[in-house]
Amino acid sequence: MKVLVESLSFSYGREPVLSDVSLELPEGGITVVIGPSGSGKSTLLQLLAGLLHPGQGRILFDGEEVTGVPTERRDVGVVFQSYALFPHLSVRENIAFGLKTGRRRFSMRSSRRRPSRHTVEARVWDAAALLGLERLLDRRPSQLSGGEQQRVALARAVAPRPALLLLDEPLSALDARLRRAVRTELASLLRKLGITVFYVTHDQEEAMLLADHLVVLNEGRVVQAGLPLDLYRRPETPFVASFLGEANLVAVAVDGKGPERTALGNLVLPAGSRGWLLVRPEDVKEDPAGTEATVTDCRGMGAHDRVVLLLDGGAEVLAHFPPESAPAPGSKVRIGTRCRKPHFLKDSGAARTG
Amino acid sequence: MRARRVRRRLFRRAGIAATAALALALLAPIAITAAGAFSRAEWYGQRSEGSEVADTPALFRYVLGIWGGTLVRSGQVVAAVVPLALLIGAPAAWAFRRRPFPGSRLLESAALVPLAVPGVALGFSLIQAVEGVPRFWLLAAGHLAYTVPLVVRTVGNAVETLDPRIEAAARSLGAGPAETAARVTLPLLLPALILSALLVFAVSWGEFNVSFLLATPLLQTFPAALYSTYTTNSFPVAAAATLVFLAPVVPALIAIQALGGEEFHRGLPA
Amino acid sequence: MTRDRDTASAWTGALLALPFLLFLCGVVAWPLAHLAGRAVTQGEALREVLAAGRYRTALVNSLALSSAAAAASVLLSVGPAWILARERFRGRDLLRTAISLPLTFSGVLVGFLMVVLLGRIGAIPKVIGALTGREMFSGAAYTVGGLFLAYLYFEVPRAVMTLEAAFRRFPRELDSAARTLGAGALQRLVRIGLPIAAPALRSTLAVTFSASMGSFGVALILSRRFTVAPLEIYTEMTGFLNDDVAGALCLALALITLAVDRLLSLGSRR
Repeated sequence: MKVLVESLSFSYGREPVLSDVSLELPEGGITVVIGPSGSGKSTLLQLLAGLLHPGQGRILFDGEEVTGVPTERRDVGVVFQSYALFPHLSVRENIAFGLKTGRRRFSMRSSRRRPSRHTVEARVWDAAALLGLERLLDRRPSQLSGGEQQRVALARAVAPRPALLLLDEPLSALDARLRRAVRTELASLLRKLGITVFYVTHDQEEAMLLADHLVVLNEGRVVQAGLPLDLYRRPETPFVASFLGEANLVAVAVDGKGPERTALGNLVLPAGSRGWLLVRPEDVKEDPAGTEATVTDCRGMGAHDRVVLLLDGGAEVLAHFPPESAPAPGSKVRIGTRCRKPHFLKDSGAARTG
Repeated sequence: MRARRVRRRLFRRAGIAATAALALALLAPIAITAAGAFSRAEWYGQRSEGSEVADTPALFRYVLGIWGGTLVRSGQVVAAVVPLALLIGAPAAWAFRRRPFPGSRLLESAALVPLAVPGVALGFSLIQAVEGVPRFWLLAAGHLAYTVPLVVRTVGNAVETLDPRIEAAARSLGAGPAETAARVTLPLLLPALILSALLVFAVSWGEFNVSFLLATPLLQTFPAALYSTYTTNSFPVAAAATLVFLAPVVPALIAIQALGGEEFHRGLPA
Repeated sequence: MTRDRDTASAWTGALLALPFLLFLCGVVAWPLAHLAGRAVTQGEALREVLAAGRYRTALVNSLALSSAAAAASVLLSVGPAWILARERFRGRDLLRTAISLPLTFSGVLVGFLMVVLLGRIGAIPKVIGALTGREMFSGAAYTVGGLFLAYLYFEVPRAVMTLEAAFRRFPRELDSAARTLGAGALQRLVRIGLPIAAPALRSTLAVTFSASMGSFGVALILSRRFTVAPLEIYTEMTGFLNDDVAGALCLALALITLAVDRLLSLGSRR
């Protein structure tokens, strides 16, 4: 199902939470919305679920408007941040819940009847098998670990085969090690399901791993949307640049014309341009022909060495060097960049490094 | 779709109206009684002692004149019961959550049992079983039976919502157990302790079952005196006495609500 | 090392809970045990109480009246408790305070209010008389119906407060989750709301039931032919000085109340 969000606005009382948000969720793809806390991403999810109703704007599912359609008729599945498992029901009954409600869908085209008991059992089993819950079906939610609860929540949401699956920071309640393990499983599972997915997170690695389509939200507005690597390589604002990973942003102001020389490379910019040059730490390398810099700090991270360098002009540059190759603090090195043409972020006036 | 929201709003309005109606129904008899006290109407019946009282101020003077002694008694009982209930209940409530010991769960679950014991039965068995204790303290013991459980629950809930790491932080900063209790735990539990004190006050002030059974001519609390006034005095006198009873209860209840006293429901057996 | 620490902490806990343990034993357990001991050693009184029509009627009356009033008050209170817990509106705190007011009232006060409203020359018969010229509801306070209304009067506030506390803890997300799975309002109530609220409903029934079983003052003022157990105990004790029968009745009343209370609260706390 293709989902279209048109200039959606929402406010709690007089506090605007979302303003003029427009989005397109590609059919069968995973759209990840990332943003800091308070950016309105969970509100957007609740609007899509129909748990909240927008002040302005429209939501369309496959071209049909569903803005006012109540949740129970929207054909969506939701995985809540707290999982919201029914404590009085077993895992089996939790998963079967959505199969027995006899959902009347908003569009007559896809309306369906209550499935038979046999179908319910088969579907519960399918969902349980998909998530490896076969042995836990008779347990209560309180008898499950956090990771197991998370899988039950997902099984419950996908069992009715919704056209749109919404996940609200589904991994944030898990500890770091488990989160990393589940993240990869979840990515392949969501791809296997092949349904349209809307996934909310504040974790950049999670976003990069899962997203087909990445949307960055800040202060209730869409800052940038596109392919995840595009956003990482070619952010339009310093906020996006630094939110999606560590970034060196070198302020540039072109007074005259011709190639502008910066500490990290030369580039041709029209006269009067103002903005920042983006160089990711992994693109900084030792270069005998490059600029001289002093190492002020160096820390082995395992996968790479994290090096802080001070340029002669006083600017600080963060670099990721291959493991155990970094020079000692205090020593001088010459550095350059790996990329031939560093990305330039134009200062549109409003954007500030966030 | 709009219709749904309209329906939901209507449902909400109707619910609020029903709740307000319930509150009114509960307040109406009190309002009527108050009106009776001030208009000196006769809605009660044949009893006539005090019907000669001329005006409203004189009516209250009359009530205080005949029942002043029982008011003092009630005050003494409350003054003994409130601190005792806190001293017995609060440390135990904290211990159940923070320093569990073998049998503490059982003890905690037994805390609410006294509330299910009929007051008459408890009062009677106190008289029968305990010898050599002055009546006043027997009566106070009866009141404690119905108030200590409230303290255990109120303070217990407050301890539960208190992050144990706050106490751990104080310990890590070098505060000993006593200092942690005095400078961290007690100040944080203060609202719950005040709430408990108010609850104990309200329950003890209104307690009738045990008080009436244990009452002697010299040991009569105000609620027990209310019974006498209802059976012997004229309606205006009875109504005025009722208002005197309510005078300290209403501010206490408002304070309880302000402090979030949801535990009040397990009040004394009526 | 940790074992020593655990032991020390358990000892601290036990020490802090010691006053509570002594209170529970001295004020509640010992008197009731004494009561039971006496009733067993003097089995005649107990047999008499269970056999004699009058005492048995009093117990059965208490049981019936308390069950009916408890059930009715829970039914009446579910709506208002839900509104108070889940809706925000102006005046909510005022409504809650108003509804909680009767919690402090002793039984005699409730009885008196009932007489003011529905006594022989009560306010309601007077108003009806003035409007229609007919005599209606005069003396209704003294009937079983009046007694039932009086019991409702002090039980509804207890029920509302208990249920409200439970409803406030009801996780909102469960309702949202059920909606996203396609459940309509009725399905959500039947399959999610009620099962989760069931323990709260049971414990509310327990609270109101125990309060009614022990209630004494209401019947003292209102009861004419319809007698209840606490009243019978009081009469035996003070009127006939028959301590054996009073003790046996006390024991029976306490056991019935505690048994029902335990039965209802089984599983109400996970």
